[in-house]
Amino acid sequence: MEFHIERAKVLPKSNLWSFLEGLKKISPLIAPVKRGNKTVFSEVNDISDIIINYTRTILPPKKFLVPYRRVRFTYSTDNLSFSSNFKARDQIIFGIHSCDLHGISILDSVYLKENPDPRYLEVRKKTVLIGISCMPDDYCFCLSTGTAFPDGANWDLFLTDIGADYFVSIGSPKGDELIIELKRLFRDIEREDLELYKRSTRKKKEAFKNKKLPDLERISQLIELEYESPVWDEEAKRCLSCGTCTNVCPTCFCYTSIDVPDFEGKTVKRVEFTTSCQYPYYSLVAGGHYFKPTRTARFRHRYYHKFVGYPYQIEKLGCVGCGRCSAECPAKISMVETLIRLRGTDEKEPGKAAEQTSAGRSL
Amino acid sequence: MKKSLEKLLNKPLPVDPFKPQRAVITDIEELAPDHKKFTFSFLDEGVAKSWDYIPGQFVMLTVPKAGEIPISICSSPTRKGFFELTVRKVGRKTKVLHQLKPGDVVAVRGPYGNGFPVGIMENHNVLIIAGGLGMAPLRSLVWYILDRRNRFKEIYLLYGTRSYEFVLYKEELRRLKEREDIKCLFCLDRVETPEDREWADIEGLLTELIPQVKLKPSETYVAVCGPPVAYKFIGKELLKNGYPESQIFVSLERKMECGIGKCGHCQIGYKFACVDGPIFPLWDTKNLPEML
Amino acid sequence: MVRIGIMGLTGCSGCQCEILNCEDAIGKLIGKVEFAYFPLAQDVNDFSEFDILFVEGSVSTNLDREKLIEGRKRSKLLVAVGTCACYGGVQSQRNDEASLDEMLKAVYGDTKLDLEVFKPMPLSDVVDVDYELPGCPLDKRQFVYTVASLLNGVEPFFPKIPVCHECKLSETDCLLLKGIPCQGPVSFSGCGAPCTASGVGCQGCRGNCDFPNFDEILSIYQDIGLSFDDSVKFLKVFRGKTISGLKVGSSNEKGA
Ligand SMILES: Cc1cc2nc3c(=O)[nH]c(=O)nc-3n(C[C@H](O)[C@H](O)[C@H](O)COP(=O)(O)OP(=O)(O)OC[C@H]3O[C@@H](n4cnc5c(N)ncnc54)[C@H](O)[C@@H]3O)c2cc1C
Ligand code: SF4
Ligand code: SF4
Ligand code: SF4
Ligand code: SF4
Ligand code: SF4
Ligand code: FES
Repeated sequence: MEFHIERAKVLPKSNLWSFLEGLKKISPLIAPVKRGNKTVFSEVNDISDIIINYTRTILPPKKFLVPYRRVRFTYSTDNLSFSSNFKARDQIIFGIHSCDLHGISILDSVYLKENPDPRYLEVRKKTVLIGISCMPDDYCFCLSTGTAFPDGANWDLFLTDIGADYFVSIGSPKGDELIIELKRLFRDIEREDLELYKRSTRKKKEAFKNKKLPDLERISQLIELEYESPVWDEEAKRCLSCGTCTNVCPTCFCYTSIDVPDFEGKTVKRVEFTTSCQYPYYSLVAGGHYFKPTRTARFRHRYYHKFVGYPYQIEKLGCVGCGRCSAECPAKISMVETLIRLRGTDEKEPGKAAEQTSAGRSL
Repeated sequence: MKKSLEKLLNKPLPVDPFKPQRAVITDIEELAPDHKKFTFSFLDEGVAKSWDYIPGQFVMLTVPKAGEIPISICSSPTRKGFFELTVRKVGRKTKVLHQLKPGDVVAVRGPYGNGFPVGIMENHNVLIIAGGLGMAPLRSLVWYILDRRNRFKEIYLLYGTRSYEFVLYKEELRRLKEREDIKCLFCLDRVETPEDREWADIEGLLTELIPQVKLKPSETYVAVCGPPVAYKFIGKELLKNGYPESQIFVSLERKMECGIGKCGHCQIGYKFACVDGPIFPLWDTKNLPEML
Repeated sequence: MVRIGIMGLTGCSGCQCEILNCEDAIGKLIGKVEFAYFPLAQDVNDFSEFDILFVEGSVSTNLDREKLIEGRKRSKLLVAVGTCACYGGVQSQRNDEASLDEMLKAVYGDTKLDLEVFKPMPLSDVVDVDYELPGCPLDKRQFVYTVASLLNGVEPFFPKIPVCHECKLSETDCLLLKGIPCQGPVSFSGCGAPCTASGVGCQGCRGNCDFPNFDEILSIYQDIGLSFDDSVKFLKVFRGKTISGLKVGSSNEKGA
């Protein structure tokens, strides 16, 4: 038997559709498809529906890992035995951009680091993630968040557009198996492919040149020091508390759980549904006390959680710069603008707020 | 792929942390209007045997048909074979719980949260300050300390309620007051009835009792639990009396859905009250905005 | 057996029809509950006492009022169903702008009515209401969930989350961003956002979500080309008295 290690392969663009057809034969295939003027991830029956060059889907692929509404358990009221008929299925998600792959890595940490959720793990084990390279639009800021490239994220295969071909990086044994299965469609990399691959990195970086990007250096500390900044009030005034920004975010995980009994009172379903910290009830406790009573408090909390909370909780920023929250906000509030305003244009560390805070935690 | 991420995925499926264990209500005691103490024991013997906890920890209690609620354990882990919860009737789920009878079965998961740092409290004085229902988790601490009395130095218990009617664990606390190894000071917001008079050391707030405590602050750990509005004032008074803020521990309440860092509701600043709390050193107010 | 009553005051009976459309649920309920009073659906009715009384429609006449007060006395729980019962309904959208005389004149001309008529009110203006299930019409799933919960002695749970929640999670392309007026961000969800999914802006038929930001939504409407007055009228269609204070002509300035 011959052993050899391959880190990457080349998929000629002319073979892309055969590759997708091949994938679909292996497992249910999920990929970006058109919906109106937008793109959404959806299970595909006909691979010709798949959109290869898209900028951003309305919802991230997260919905195929953690459904927005899920039955955690069913229990009988007679003997309180809890059961679940949950079963993960094999699935391949194709066409995920780098930011969303990083988003999934963040979810991996959220769900699996402490008190791991067996359900998430089961889904993740059965899901193959295939990424694809992309070019930014005006909402993207993945270059600032360090998520413009798939390094350090949890994926199986990643396709980088190098002109006539895709440079296919292999990220896991699962990815390797797929390549072996569909071997006839790939060729070995050559020196020239590698050069093109390296150039594609530069090309993406250059595409950000004329875009507004927030400086996220020491962002955790900045947000802590600027906690009382009037910028929060000014931006929050326009916020509708509609929750869109968190509902479309690839890294948000908040949910509420309710028990729903049937008519007979024999069985009860424990249902979890996605929620948002932007909704007032989110922080409401007995006695009618709101821990986040004002729009400003709720608005600020999202930024605080993304840039201070996640770094503490999972040791990574909670934002992957996908731009969805800004692109979908009905009030057109832009995360990038808020962050830039918060830092101030003169790049000086904020003075006023710093004096008020007795101690700052540096990251 | 990063090693840390790879490791997350290459694990066998863990036991479902959301799945609760069945427990039967063995006793219910009406403590005050709308306040009941429930005694439970686990149906599964293995679970009952291995069940252990730290004062200040809480459980997620499934009220059948209504849903899960976080409730502090008010019994002490030094007493085995059962555990107790004191619950005030405030809303949807607690209303249903209050209708249950001994013999009814509920489901419980936990214990969750960090609990009071009982290990580092050893060989120190402990000042326990309870307001209203805050007595519940602190009752666990009181009995934990009394059952291991020789490991701790002087112990004070300050307890404030609206009126005598709302005092929890009345008989138990009366007996405590007679003991030599714990000093109890009780206050009531308003002293009106003869019962109030008999009970209260002073008419007034907990903050007025703090100066009466004769302990060396630097050698004292403080444990506080009370209604959210009280913390600011109690904290201030304690600092004024010289207690170091890293030795004052407060138990905080937030909305909780999961108890294990998955639902997000309980966040206080960058921490989860359910896993990083619910016990926080007062020092954390510097870092965690909106903590108090 | 649990005795249920379903009665209508001034309304279109649409909500009662919607209840009738819950065939699966009603099939399951028969034998467990007794529909003691449901004149829209059955000939034999008994208005003596109830465990749960569902009331549709707004209170607009003395007859409505008497019937409602009587119903409240006879029922352990009273649930307002539909936007008319919860907020006053579309018929109350001009309550704060027109006098009763003007209203009567516009509808009935000079015809004399032998009823005492007043401005349409929600049930809660007259009696204590235990639960409100808004919607024009009410949402079937919510009705079923409410009945199931109440039969089990549990209060139903309805956080007042905005319609955008359900709209976005069903991956509908935002209408507001396309310049189509939509009330999703200020309206109480639970309907599943069927309107936006079919390209029609949410009309706010379920009333306010928690702490709606009317200032901002008015400003957005004006940005996409509605006049201030039209924006206010649009917002007021279903909200009854829950939006009183916002008046046509109260401002010419954007977002005031
Ligand atoms: C760590 C921890 C420990 C705890 N320990 C204890 C304990 O030992 N004993 C104890 O009794 N409790 C304890 N609690 C609190 C307890 O968990 C809550 O009281 C309980 O979850 C309430 O559940 P419920 O369903 O009865 O109330 P819910 O029905 O959920 O409602 C809670 C309250 O919210 C308010 N509310 C709901 N909806 C609205 C609305 N639309 N507008 C205005 N107000 C509204 C109401 O005032 C209602 O009473 C603890 C909480 C935590 C986090
Ligand atoms: S999407 Fe925009 S308007 Fe909606 S909650 Fe987020 S910031 Fe506010
Ligand atoms: S916060 Fe916004 S830009 Fe960042 S990951 Fe979430 S949706 Fe994308
Ligand atoms: S707290 Fe808000 S920003 Fe953070 S994960 Fe939850 S919904 Fe998202
Ligand atoms: S279409 Fe309406 S309901 Fe949907 S997200 Fe946009 S504003 Fe919200
Ligand atoms: S989307 Fe709006 S108008 Fe349509 S049913 Fe829901 S609340 Fe009513
Ligand atoms: S209770 Fe769910 S995260 Fe803390």
